[in-house]
Amino acid sequence: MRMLRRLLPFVLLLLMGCIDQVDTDLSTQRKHLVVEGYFTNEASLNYVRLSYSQPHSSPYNEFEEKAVVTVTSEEGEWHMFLYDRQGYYFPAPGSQAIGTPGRIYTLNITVGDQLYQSKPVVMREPIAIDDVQFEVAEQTFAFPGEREKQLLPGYNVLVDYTDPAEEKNFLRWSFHTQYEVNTQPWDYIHPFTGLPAPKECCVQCFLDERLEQLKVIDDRLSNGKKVLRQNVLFMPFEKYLGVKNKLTVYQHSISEEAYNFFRILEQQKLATGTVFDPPPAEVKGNITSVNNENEQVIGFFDVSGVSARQVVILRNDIDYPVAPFRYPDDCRVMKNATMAIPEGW
Amino acid sequence: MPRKSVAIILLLLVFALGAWAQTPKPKQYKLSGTVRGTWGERLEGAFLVITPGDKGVLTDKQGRFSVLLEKGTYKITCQYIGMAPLEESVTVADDKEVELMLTRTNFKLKEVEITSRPVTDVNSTHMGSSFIDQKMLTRMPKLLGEADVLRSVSALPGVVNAGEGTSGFFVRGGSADQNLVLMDDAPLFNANHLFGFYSVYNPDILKSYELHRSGISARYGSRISSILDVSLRDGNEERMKYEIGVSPISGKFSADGPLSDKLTFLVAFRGAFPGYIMKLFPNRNIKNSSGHFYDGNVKFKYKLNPKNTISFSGYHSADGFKFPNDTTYQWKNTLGTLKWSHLFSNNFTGIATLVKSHYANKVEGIAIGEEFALNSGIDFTQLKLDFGYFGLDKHQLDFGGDAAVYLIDPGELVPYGSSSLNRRRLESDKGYETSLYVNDEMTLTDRMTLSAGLRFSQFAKIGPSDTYVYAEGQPRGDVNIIDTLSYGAGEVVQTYYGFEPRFSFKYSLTDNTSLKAGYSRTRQYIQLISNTAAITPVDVWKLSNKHIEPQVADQVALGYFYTSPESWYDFSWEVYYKKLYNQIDYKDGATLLLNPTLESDLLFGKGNAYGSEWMLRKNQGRLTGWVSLTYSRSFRTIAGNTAAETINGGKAYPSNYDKPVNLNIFTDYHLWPKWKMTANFTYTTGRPVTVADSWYWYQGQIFANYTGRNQERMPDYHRLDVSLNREIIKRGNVEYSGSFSVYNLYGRKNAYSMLYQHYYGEAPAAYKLAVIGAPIPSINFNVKF
Repeated sequence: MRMLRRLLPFVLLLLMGCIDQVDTDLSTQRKHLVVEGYFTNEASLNYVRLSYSQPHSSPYNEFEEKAVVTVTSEEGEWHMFLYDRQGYYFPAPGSQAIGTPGRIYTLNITVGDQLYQSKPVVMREPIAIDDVQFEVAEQTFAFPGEREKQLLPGYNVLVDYTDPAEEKNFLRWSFHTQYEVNTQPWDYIHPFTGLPAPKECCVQCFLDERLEQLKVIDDRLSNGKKVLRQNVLFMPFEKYLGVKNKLTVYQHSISEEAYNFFRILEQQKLATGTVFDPPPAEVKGNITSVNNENEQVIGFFDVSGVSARQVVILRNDIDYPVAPFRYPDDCRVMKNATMAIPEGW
Repeated sequence: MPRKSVAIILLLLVFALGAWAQTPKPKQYKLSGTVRGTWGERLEGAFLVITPGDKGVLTDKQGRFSVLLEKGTYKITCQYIGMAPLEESVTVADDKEVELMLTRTNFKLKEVEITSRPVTDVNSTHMGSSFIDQKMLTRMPKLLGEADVLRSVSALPGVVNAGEGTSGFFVRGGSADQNLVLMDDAPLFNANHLFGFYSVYNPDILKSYELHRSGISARYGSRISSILDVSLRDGNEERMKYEIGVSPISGKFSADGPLSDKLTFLVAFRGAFPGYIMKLFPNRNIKNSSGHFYDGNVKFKYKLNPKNTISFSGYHSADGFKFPNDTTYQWKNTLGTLKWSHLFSNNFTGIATLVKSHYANKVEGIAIGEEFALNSGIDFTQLKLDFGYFGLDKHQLDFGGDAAVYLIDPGELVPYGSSSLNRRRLESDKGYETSLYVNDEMTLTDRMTLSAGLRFSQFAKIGPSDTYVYAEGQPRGDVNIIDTLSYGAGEVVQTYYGFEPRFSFKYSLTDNTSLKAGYSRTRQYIQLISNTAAITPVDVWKLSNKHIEPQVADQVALGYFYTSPESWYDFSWEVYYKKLYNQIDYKDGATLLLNPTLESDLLFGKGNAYGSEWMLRKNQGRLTGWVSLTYSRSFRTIAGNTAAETINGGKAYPSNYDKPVNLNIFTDYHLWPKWKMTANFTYTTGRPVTVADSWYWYQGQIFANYTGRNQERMPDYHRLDVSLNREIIKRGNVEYSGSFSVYNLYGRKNAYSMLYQHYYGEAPAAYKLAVIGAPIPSINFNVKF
């Protein structure tokens, strides 16, 4: 019987699938302009990112750095966006690039002699977040730079809100997190010699990150209801919840077209190749080339009314045993890390 | 040419040919009879040759035959698969009735075994059909210890499967829902067990199955691609018999025998419980997942008197599987067939059949805040009348009709607990399908036989129903609804009808070779709405309505058939061309579940398919088996009124079922006196997939930019399975048998699907997912007593 217990899992293990790379025809690969545009009633969330899609033979990013980017409204507003870095364009300093719900906005991009324009989009009224809650969960997660996802304990972030009954509503969420990390610079190992090379500084740092979770929902099945515990984000305890975290949840009230756009992206991200997967679908955006209507432009100008809610989570309040965050180096080498204590921390 | 004129011309042709065949004859007498097996069961499709004169005749569904002969003494040779050939001498001086009893072939090393119906293939008008009996099936290599009907179907020419772990199959370029899958005349709407690794057919009680791909008799309707007609055996008339079978994750028991002189019964139970093995896994996801199924069959047959027999076949199954902390899926199939066979006279038979098929499906979400139960199902009831008349010389006449009621419950979403979902119910989908048919198989000359049939089917979609009217020239969608037409309960919403002519013609070039030709039109009023690769428990069945027109297929086929003397070899070659109308595809990102404007997410268009199928079989000797090779193509064209309703710019594109080359080799080798070795090799071209023309970043994640549909293909599929079968060992009244199989012997990682993934430090690339990535050994053991 013991033999059987050993053999049977082995037999079933053989059934388990596996994933291997396959070759595809690279001669049909094309380059397209990719536009990621967001305009809301919250200044810090407004930006445009321009890049180019790349053939599958190229691992490199290509950004558009020389475009002229403006957002205009039918009410005569005109907001200029200026290039920062890595394809990002932010509102010009001092400009009041804040949208007003009910108004209709258009994104205009000029690259060389080509003009790209979005369809006009109405900014919808924000829907308030009633509450933000947390629950302990385990999920597979990969930090930037990690090849494989691993199963990690963390918090599911859950929001409560009341869906307006009189109209169709579509929501997505974005997040801003500020958190403190404590690292172990004394355990630093030199990457070339492989020998211990303890550093004296620094242990305590503060990081700023924008988190996105591709999740959109409609109210097809929950119209007019008080929606409870809508799961919107997973944050692993490791790194994010080592000491203290100030999390801002933004709830975006988006258009139906934006919902359809993000939903197809979400489907693509969730596809695992099982029988339950829908087939891959073309993502249809709302941006076109004015000079050449046959040119495919990837991306969407998402105009949304946003409501926000901020919560502070302390490591000591989490009722779950988690080993401290291990980072054997100077905390300042972490991306966007600073030693300056944020205001009001 | 208008449809009506075609039908009239065809009808005239039928009668003209009939009149031509009825030239005056000298006084003839009728020789009729019944062919039965060892256990008294009537054998359909037994082939009789009557000499002198070399008249060939096939038995009908009731095992009956009838032939007109002049006065004299004749020799009847009767053949049936798995049975020893029987020769009997008969003297005809008046109308005469005979009873022919065949016995099973005794097992000997140098046995003469007929693995299929080689003789009938050449001499009948049948084409595009394959017949497999239980004996053949149980020798085919097994997966997880069980031989399976649906898996074996994909080893036949012109058939490809949907992928590992699915039981859907595609016939001659058609989709999975275009196959009518029957169990003792009752249709199945989900024939899967355990992710498709098993199907609803218990191989221990299988009698035989036949897959019709072309030359489909007018008797069959409701689906446009194929008919998989599976028959289970009746209880034997000799004595009580029991059979027990075990494999590592399943168990089976069956019993059958006579309850009285007139009444026989059969019961069978089967269950699979892989849960205890899944619990042993270290991986949490597998450990907390579970799956199971059980099913049972019951059959009764009551011979009221020599002219009347009543039989009942019932089936029930329950399936379940669960992913951890997420969703549970459960489905149940309940089938029942009540059949009354009546002999009006020696040349006139009739069968009345009442069929019920009930499919219930439940999906339950158990995540906190999103608890729900979604119940859906289909209820199908049908009454069929089939008659056979053999009273006319050189004519075998079949006629009848049926009436069916479909009641589809597309689903009720019931939230519970802290769920924020609203209760939602879609209106049920009701429809009536009725049909009439007549088929005449005419022996025109010694060499020419024509089977001409006509089927007329009608469908009515019945209210209550709210039918949306969409603005002309705009893509369908809820923003473009301009009106709603409301129909009350019982009101007819939409009617569709049409003729379905069927012809097949045989011309014997010699005693061993023939040419055949066939044409068929088929119509289908129910469709599976699914944009996944296989039939899954969350798919939706939908009846035709104002927006969804019935699917129609026209097929022409030509074939050449050859059987070597004494049937050592046979060879067939068939070519076909098919046109399909009102084919369904899906908009990008379509919502199919609980969608009241479902038609706005569907796209409609045409299809065409063509192919050539070769099959060479060796039927006798130490090595038997077949090689089948198919080259076929299947395309769809979706050119809607707007760009959003058009795929690939309105040009023809390869359908999801387009796998041009399909090679199957099956061998059965008699290794030692008690051991047989079988091997099955399959090769198919990979199925078409939609690929991306580039990758891009969005919201900090990498995506593939898909454009169009099905421009490229997945890697080719090939697999070798082997099985070592221990033939029956007899110890007194007890018989033991067993087999050891290895599925996917050389461990090919066949692609099931393709997806794009990005690993840090590398360019995003296409990856294939293999469901089975290694050889899978399995063992099974059966005891009969």
